[in-house]
Amino acid sequence: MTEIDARALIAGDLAERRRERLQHFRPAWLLTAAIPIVGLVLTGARDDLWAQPAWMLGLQALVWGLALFALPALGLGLWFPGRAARVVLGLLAAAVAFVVAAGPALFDMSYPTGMEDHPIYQVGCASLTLGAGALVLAVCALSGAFVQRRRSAGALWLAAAIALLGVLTTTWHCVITGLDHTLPSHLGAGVLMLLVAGLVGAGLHRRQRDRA
Amino acid sequence: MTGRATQEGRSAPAGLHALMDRYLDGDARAFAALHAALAPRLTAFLVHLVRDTAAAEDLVQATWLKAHLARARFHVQGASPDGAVQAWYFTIARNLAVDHLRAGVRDRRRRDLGDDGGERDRLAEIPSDLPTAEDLEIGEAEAQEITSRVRDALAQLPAGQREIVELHKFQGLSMAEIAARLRIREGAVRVRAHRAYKALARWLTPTLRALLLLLARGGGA
Repeated sequence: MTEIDARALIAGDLAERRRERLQHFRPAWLLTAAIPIVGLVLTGARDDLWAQPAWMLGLQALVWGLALFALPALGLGLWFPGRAARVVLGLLAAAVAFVVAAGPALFDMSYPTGMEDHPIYQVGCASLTLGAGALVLAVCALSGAFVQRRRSAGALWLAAAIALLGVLTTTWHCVITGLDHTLPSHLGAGVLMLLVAGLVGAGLHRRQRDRA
Repeated sequence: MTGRATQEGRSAPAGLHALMDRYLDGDARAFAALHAALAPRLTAFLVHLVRDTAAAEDLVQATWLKAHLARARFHVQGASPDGAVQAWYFTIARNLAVDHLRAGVRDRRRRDLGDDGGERDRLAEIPSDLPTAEDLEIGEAEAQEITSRVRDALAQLPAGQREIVELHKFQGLSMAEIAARLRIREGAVRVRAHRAYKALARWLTPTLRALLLLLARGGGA
């Protein structure tokens, strides 16, 4: 009788694959952690960053956590929750992204805007959202993060993480809280980032599948 | 076939395909659950086929390893996804069992031939470093098995990487010659070759080593 334990060998092989996936995760993760901080250092944090309502700060921290851990873990195949948990997570990410991007003015239109809106600010905020997201997107694409899962749906989770990061970077920078500004240039740019990253990720996944 | 009848007589446990799907995506817990669901059935199936509990246990191990190495080729066929998963594992198990039984018949035939003539026994007493006919045959079978595994692994490489490995290892071209033939930079050839060999090394160890060891022992006999 052989002493080979196939279950242990296969479990070991799967653990090795998981470590490889973590390697793909690491560069993008470091960038995801660094970009909002570096962005704030370079462009300056909003004056009222710490004066925001506590629940809003909490939601922003939740968005960062989703972008840093939960969504990339799903996208890279490091975490395998059930279908219900995935649906809840997707809805949660969409809801908090919407609330964080729109800001407290969503519930209270008289919330102080800090600065009057101007088209140039809209362009600036949209550029910051897309720029921050594009940096992580590039690292994800180069590190092969988008092709770790068998199905292209994994790329969508990564795209969502990238879009959340872009929205968060802008939210922590921009002091304008009026919906006229935040909806198009924060949330709108975030949605655009989601679409672009999703398309790039799905394209890379498809190319990898065709080559294999 | 008796084995097929046994296999078809059992409906697949519900949720096998969902587990397989997650396992193929790298979920170790899903694999553990899949193993727990199928291992007793595979053992019973193989004991029924080979009539030897110890050999059947070894064949079960070989089945899991072989299926793991070939998992990228699993596709759902038929109306029942759960049934397709079970059928896939049972087909691999049945093929290994058939190989094992054939090897047993060959062994018995060799022993019978050896026992029945005294001349052969006297020849066997002569010390020699040369491999016997049996050694050569087993060695050839091992070589064929290894070649088959390597070709399977090669087939999993992206076309661009596979082409370079084939030109380099099978046709003996240098990196510069490959670059000229494919009209790409030599550096790109080296990068692709490096990735390909790294992937091959990953795919061929350690489970393949274990599988080959198992198969070299005669399918676990």
